[in-house]
Amino acid sequence: MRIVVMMAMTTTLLLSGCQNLPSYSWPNSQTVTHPKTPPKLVAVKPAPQVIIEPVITREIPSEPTPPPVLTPVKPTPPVVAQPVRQLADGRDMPAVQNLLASAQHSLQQGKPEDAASSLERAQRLAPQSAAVYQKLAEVRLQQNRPVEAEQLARKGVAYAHNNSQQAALWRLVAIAADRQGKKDVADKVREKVMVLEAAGDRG
Amino acid sequence: MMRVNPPQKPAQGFILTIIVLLMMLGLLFAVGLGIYALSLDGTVREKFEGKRWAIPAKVYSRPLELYTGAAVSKSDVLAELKLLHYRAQSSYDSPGVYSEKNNELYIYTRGFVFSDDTEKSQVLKLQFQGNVLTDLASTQQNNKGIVRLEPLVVGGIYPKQNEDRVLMQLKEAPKYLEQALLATEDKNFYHHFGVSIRGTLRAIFVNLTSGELRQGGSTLTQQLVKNFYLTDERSIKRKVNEALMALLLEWHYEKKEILETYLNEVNIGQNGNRSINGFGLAAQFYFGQPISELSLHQVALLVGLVKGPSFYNPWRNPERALERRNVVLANLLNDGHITQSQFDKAKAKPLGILKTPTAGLSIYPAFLDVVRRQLKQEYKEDDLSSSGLRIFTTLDPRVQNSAQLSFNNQVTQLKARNGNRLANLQGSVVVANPESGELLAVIGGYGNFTGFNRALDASRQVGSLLKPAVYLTALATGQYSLLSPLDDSAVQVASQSGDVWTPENYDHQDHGLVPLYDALAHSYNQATIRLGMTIGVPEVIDTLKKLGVTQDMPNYPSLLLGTVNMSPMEVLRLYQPFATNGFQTSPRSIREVVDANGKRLTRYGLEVKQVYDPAALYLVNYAMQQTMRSGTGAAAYTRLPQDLVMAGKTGTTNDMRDAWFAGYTGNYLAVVWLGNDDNKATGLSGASGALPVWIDLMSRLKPTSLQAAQPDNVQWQWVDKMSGKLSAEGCDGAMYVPYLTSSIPVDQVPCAAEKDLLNDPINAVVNGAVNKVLDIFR
Repeated sequence: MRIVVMMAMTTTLLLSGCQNLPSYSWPNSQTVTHPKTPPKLVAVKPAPQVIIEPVITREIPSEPTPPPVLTPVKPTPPVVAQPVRQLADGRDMPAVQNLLASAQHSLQQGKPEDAASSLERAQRLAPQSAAVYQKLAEVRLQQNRPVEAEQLARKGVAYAHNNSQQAALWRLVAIAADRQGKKDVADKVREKVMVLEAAGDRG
Repeated sequence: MMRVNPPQKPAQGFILTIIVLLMMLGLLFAVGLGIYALSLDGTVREKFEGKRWAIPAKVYSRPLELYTGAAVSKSDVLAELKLLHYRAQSSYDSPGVYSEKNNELYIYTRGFVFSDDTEKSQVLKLQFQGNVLTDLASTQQNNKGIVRLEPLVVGGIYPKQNEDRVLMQLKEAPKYLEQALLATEDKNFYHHFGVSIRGTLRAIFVNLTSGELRQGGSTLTQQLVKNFYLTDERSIKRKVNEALMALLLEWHYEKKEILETYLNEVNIGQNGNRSINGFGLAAQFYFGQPISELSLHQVALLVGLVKGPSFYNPWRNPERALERRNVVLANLLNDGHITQSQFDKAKAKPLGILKTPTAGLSIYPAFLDVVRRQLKQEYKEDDLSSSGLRIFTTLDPRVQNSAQLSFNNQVTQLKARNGNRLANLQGSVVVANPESGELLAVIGGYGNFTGFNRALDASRQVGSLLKPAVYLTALATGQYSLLSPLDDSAVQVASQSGDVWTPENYDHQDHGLVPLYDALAHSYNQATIRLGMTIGVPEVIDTLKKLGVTQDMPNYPSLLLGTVNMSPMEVLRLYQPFATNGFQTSPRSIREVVDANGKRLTRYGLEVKQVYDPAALYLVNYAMQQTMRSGTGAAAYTRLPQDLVMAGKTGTTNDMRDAWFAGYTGNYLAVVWLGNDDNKATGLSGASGALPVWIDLMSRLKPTSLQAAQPDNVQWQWVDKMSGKLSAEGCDGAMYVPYLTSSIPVDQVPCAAEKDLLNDPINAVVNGAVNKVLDIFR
């Protein structure tokens, strides 16, 4: 009993001005401005997934060509349910979303290495997050390190959730390839982007 | 001195001459002393105002990151707190203390300045459910929802003179440190000018009566001068220098500044060949705590040690040390700094030192060695050993400690069971995060670290560890699937010189026709040789190069069975892209290097590079998962959960000289090697020697399932194991296997054809999904 009383006493002493420790939850940052819908930071509840849109992608394909028609060579294989995987993408971790927001903030302040540092923390928490790779690729592009940017975006593609996210990542690959003078790669990738955009996302 | 001989003169004139001469001599002496002092002045000021100490680079582990949803259990956090020497108390009233209350853990953190942000000292409240941190709250505002504990100091990059220091400022000094020090060493500190006449006279008296130089009678300033500028010799000249320099020091600098320098300079112990200088380091060395956290009895012990760190060494001479500590406490009492009850309480306390010293000697020497070797390529030796750099590494103490336990247990057991035969058994373990390439743990050998770091320096034949590259090359051609039948009958290979080589299977059996995945899972040599010879050794070499092997690889068939020498670290590098569908991330041991002012010098960022076709790797991954499910690694599932998806490969070399295992889960990639340094046979296979270490390590950690992203051109299908024809769920011999979409079989087994009539393809999706859902409820 005495211990509990002591605990209570020290707690009140310590937390004067912050007396609601037991129910304290992380407050929202006032300074972070980036995400269109800033993640609500309630400590316990999983935050809704936030997809960070790339900043650099304002490309309009010059000649809209119809998506290529694929002719099957062999009979179509039976449609079999594919394994469902829960990627470690941090969509239920507020900390990952916050680190993404913090990285965006650093990037806007002209501190790309701080941004990269936050993103790598996020990557450690959520190693299979396409959003994190996307943002890392953007950072490297801004630092004019297109070789790294291209690879990071490519890795992100594998973890993308839907066509629009995949398209966004391929767009980054295309920009990075362009900056390296790899026009053929960039062109091919842009075709992919168009196919994905044409397909769109169901639901 | 020649003038001292006076000419013959009347007595009066003689006396006068003497007086004049003496005065002149006195003047000369004073001027000489003045000039001499002036010359010393330069020395005194130069050192005091310049860089006072060479501060060796400090090497830190990764910080433990706390956030809601973290895969961290309460015992993980408690283990980390123990490493950081936090103290368990019923109330969390000061930094470095924690309290457990029901399922809640309160931590009063010490805070830490990182290069990107400062973690303030704060009270954290943590709640856990099983292995997950479910709730985190703090007294500090936090917009990230994530808090880092301070990282663990795992060692330093030491200069040749073997000194180390943890610099402290006077304001960080704990209560009573200054009073205890002055009461014991220099009562008059705030009133003298650097030398104490009374002290000196007393010392002269003692020394004269005893006939030898025994007592110092030095002020703190003199002690500082002695340590800072002078050698240990005992002579009149040195004594004079000491007094002069002490006066000069006091002339130029404030008392507080001299005291602070003293606190950082004084020698308070010895750790091997490294001297423990300064109270900051001493607090770490003896108690594992920052100086600011020390309480009265701890402060008194450190102050007591100043008189003779070796004589009063609390580990070797605990009674002497205790007695000396109590003398210091008595001094505090006598001078009225503490009350009788404080004195009694402190006196009743045990020494409270660590079981073994922490500071200085690295607890993880092999990991530190990896870090040091990388740094030496990029930094000057001098910068590393003296500029106070801070090196933030990727070392995860939780993984490192687990790896040490698993490795030591296994090797100790093997030695005990096999008597002399394995008396010199050695080995190595390296662990990394497969996605980031961050190195988490390095074991360089069994026993004391000698500098021969087997993780890097033991270049050994890898045997079957190369086989996945053979199968990968085959699958990447698109000509093979996981169920392609391979011929595992006896095989002979003729070399260019005409010799015939007859590689045999490990079990000396032929297995006839086997599915491709099974040949890899069971590591069949005959099937592998046949496959490799069909696709071509140069193609396999090409694959290995793409995956990161830099060695020269001979274009011989024996390469297919692994006649290449590699170190455990090189094997780690080779296996990393397997774990990530072809995205290579070289092993990294350093996150960043920060200078003494907290400025980031170098950051080693995450870099990835696609080195191989993800689809082919996805398929090989399946085969390596089968190694664990049904092949040479099957022992893993006797201890690890059935639903854990993992992949790996055993490796055994001729005559059982080397036992290897390389394997990965979603979050850990680990390579284990056991063997003798002199390459003698051990009688251990990869499965019997190395695999148990890997399994034990994973069972201590929290491995997550491998979840490779499925490439677009890969599809899972139900296929008949024996014929390789399309089958369907529920048919006999049907397996669920990934295929390149371009090589999905066309022919169906009868059972599948019947089902096809019942269900049209679109419905199959729905049914498949429904079945999966039903499975959960069954």
